[in-house]
Amino acid sequence: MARLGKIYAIAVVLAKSQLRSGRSGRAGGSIFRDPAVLALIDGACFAACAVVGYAVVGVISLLPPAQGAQVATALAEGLVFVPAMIPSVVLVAGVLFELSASSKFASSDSVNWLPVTQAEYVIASTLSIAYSYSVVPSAILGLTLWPSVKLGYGGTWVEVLLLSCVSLVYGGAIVEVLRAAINRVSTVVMKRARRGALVLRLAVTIGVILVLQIIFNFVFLIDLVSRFTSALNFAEFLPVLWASLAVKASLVGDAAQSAVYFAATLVFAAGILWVAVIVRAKYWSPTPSRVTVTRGAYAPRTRSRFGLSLLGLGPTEVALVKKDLKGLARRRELLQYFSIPFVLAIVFLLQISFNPALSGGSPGSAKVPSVVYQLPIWFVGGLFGLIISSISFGQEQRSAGLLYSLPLTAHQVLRAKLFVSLLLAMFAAVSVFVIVTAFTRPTPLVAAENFVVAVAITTQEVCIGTAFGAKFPDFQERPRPRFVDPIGIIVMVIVGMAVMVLTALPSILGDALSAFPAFQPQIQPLFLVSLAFAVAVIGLSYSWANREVKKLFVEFRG
Amino acid sequence: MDASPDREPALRLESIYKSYGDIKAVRGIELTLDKGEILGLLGPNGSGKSTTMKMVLGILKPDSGEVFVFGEKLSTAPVELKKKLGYVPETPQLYEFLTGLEYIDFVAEMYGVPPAERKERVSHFMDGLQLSGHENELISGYSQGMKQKVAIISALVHKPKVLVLDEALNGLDPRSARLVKDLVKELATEGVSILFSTHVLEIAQSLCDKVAIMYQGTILAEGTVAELRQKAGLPGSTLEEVFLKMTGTDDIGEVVKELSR
Repeated sequence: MARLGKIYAIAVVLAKSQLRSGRSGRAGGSIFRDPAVLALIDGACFAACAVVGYAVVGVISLLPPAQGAQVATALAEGLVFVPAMIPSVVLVAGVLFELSASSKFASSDSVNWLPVTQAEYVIASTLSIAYSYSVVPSAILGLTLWPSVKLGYGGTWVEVLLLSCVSLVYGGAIVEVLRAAINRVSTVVMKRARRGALVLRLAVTIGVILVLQIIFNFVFLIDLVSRFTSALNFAEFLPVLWASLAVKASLVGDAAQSAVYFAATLVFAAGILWVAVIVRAKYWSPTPSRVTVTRGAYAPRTRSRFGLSLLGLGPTEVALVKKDLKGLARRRELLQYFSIPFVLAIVFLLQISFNPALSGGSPGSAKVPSVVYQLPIWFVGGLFGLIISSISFGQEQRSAGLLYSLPLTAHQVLRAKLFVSLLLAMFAAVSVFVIVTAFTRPTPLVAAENFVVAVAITTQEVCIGTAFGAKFPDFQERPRPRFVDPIGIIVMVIVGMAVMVLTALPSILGDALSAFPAFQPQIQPLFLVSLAFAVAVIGLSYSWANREVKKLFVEFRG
Repeated sequence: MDASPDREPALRLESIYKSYGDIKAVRGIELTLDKGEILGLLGPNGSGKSTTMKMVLGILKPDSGEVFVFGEKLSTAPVELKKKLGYVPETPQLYEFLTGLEYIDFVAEMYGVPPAERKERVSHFMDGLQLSGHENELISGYSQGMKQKVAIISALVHKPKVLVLDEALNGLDPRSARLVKDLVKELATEGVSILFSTHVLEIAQSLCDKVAIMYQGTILAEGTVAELRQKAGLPGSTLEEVFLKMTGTDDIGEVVKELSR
C-alpha cells in the first residue's frame, strides 16, 4: 500500500533534482532552489497568458461578426485538443530531459535499497515529472481563460483544466513506462547481443521511443484514423482522444457524454500508471553488464581509419572526436540525444506519408504553405545541432577534470567538440532534406536554396549550442544528469530559435508574399543578407565558445 | 516457520547464483551471519563481493537461491525486511543536489524514523563525524570522505539490525575511520550484525569475528583468522599471507620484477 508521506518525500527529492544544478554551495536561501518556484512560475505564466487572452478578446470584439464567429470556432477546437496534446508534449520533453540516467546510477540509486515500494516510487516520479512540465497547461489555460468565459465556455474551461491535470499525470506515467522499457532493452540486449550489443541497443532504443511517440501523438493518430474513416467517428476507440471527446461533448452541452469520457480518461490514466508500476517492478533496475567490444590484440593506429586527419584535424583532435563518438553510441544516458534526429525525421515522414493533404503533391498544389515543408529540415538539423552541441562539455561529467588536466589546448578541445556536433547535426539535416525534397519535388534552384539555408541554420545552431554548453556546463553525476545548467538551456533555446527564424526569414517572407510577385525581387537579396548574418553568428559564437573553453581550462587546472 | 526470529541468524544466504551474461559472478554461495557478529567478506576485485552484498540488500535478484533475513525470505517481504538493513555502498551515489542534512532526513523518512528521534540522532552523528557546519551545503560540493560520512550516517540513522558495509572506510580521514571501526565494534556488542567488505586486510583482521574469502564467485574458506591460518597451512602468518595463498595471487615478487624491467 502506497503511503502518501513517502510519496511526497520522494516527489520533493526528484523535483529538487530538476532545480538544483550549482556545482556546490549552500542550498538554502534561494527560492530558485526550492520546488515551490515551479508553482510560482506556473502562476506567473498563467497570469501573463491570461492577460494576453484578455487582449485577444478585445481584438475579437473589434472584428466583424462573421470573423468573430470563426475565431470562436477556432478557440473551441483548440480547447478540444488541449488535453490530448499535453501527454505528447510531456513525452517529447521526457525523452529529452528525463531518460538520461546512466546504468551506474539507475542500478545503484538509493531508492533501490531503501524500503520503498515500486508503486510509491513510480507515483512520486510521475508526479514530479507532471509538476516539472505543469507550465505547459498553465500557459494554455491562462491564454484560453478569458476567451472561454467571454464566449460562454466557462464550464468547459474548468473541465479542460481538470483533464489537463489528468493528462499531465498520465504523460508522466508514459515517461516512466519508457524509462523501464529502455532499462529492459539495455539489460536484454547487453546480455545477449555480445559484440553487436551497442548498435542493437541504439536501434532498439530508437524503436521504443519512436513507437511510444507515435502511439501518443494525437496528430498522427487523427491522421491515421482519417485515412480509414471519419476521425471523429473513430476517436472513441482511441483512449488518447477520450479527454478531447469529453471536452467536445461539453462544448455542445452533452453533460452525460462528457462525464462518461471524463471517467474513461481517468480509468485510462490509472491504467497507464498501473502499467508503469508493473514494468518498474519487473525491471526495477538495469543489470550492469560487461561488454567486450573487440577481442582483437591491442594495435595502436598510426593513422585515423576514417580519414579524419584529412579534414584538418590533428591526431589529438581525432582522438577526442573518436572518444566522444564512442561515448554517444555507448553511454545509455546519451542514447536519447542520439535518437532525437531519427525520431523527429521518422515521425515527420510518417505524418506526411499518412496525411493526404501533405503528401498529395507539390507544395504549390497543396493548401499547405511551402515553408511548412522546410520546418522539419530547420528543426531537425537546427534543434538537434543545438542540443547535441550544448551537452558536449557537460557530458564529460567527472571525467572533465581528467580531460582538462591533459596536455591539450582550448582550441583543440573546441574543434573536436564542434566537429562531432556538426557531423551528427549535418547528417540529420541532410537526411531530412533528402526526404522532404523527395516528397515535395521542388525546382533545383529552390532545392539548392533550401539546402543552403538548412546548412547555415545547422552550423549556426551547433556553434551557439557549443558556446552555451561551454558557458553553462553541468558536470554533475546524478540520477538524471542534465549536462547543461537550466538557465543556460532556456536562454540558449530562445537565442537559437531567434537565430533560426532570422536566418529563415527570406524563405518565410518569400512564401508569405508568394501571391505578390512584385515583392519577389526585393526578397531575393535578403538571402545574401541572411547568409552574411549566419557567418557573423558563427564567428561570434566560435569566438565566445573559445573564451569559455579557456575559462574551463583555468577553472580545472586551478 | 518453526524457529523464532530471535534464534534465526541475522542473514542466511542459501545456494545463491548470479550471472551477468556469460560471466558467473556468484556461484552457489552459502553464508550465515549470526546476531552481533562481524563477518568480513574478502576477495580480489571482481570476486563477487559487491554482487553478493547487492543481493543481500534486494538491489539485485539472485538467478537462483534465497536470501533470508532473520529467517524470512527477502523476496517475500522486501520492503519490511529492508527496514532492518543499513547499507553503505562502495561508491555512494547520493543525491548530489540535496544538502547532507536533506539527504539524511530523506533516508530517515523512508525508514520511518520519527522526527524527534531523527533530530537527536542526526545531530549526534553529524557532530561525531565532524560534518556539523557543512550540513546545509549541497552534497555535490562534498569531498569523497564527506560523502562517505553522509552514507554512513544514512545507514545508521534508523538503528538497523544488520549493517552491510561495502568498503565503508574508503576516503575517510584517520580519525573518522577509527571512529567508524570503534562504532562497528560497539554496535556488534549491542547485537547488530555486520557484513563487512574491505581490501585492507589489517582492518579485517582486527575487526571481524569471522572472515570469508571469495574468489571467482565462490567462497574458498570461512572461519576465524586462526582457523583460516590452519586451513592455509600458515600458522603464525598474517591474514594477508593467508589471503594471497588461498587466492593464488602470491606471485607478487615475480610480477613486480616483470613490471620494473
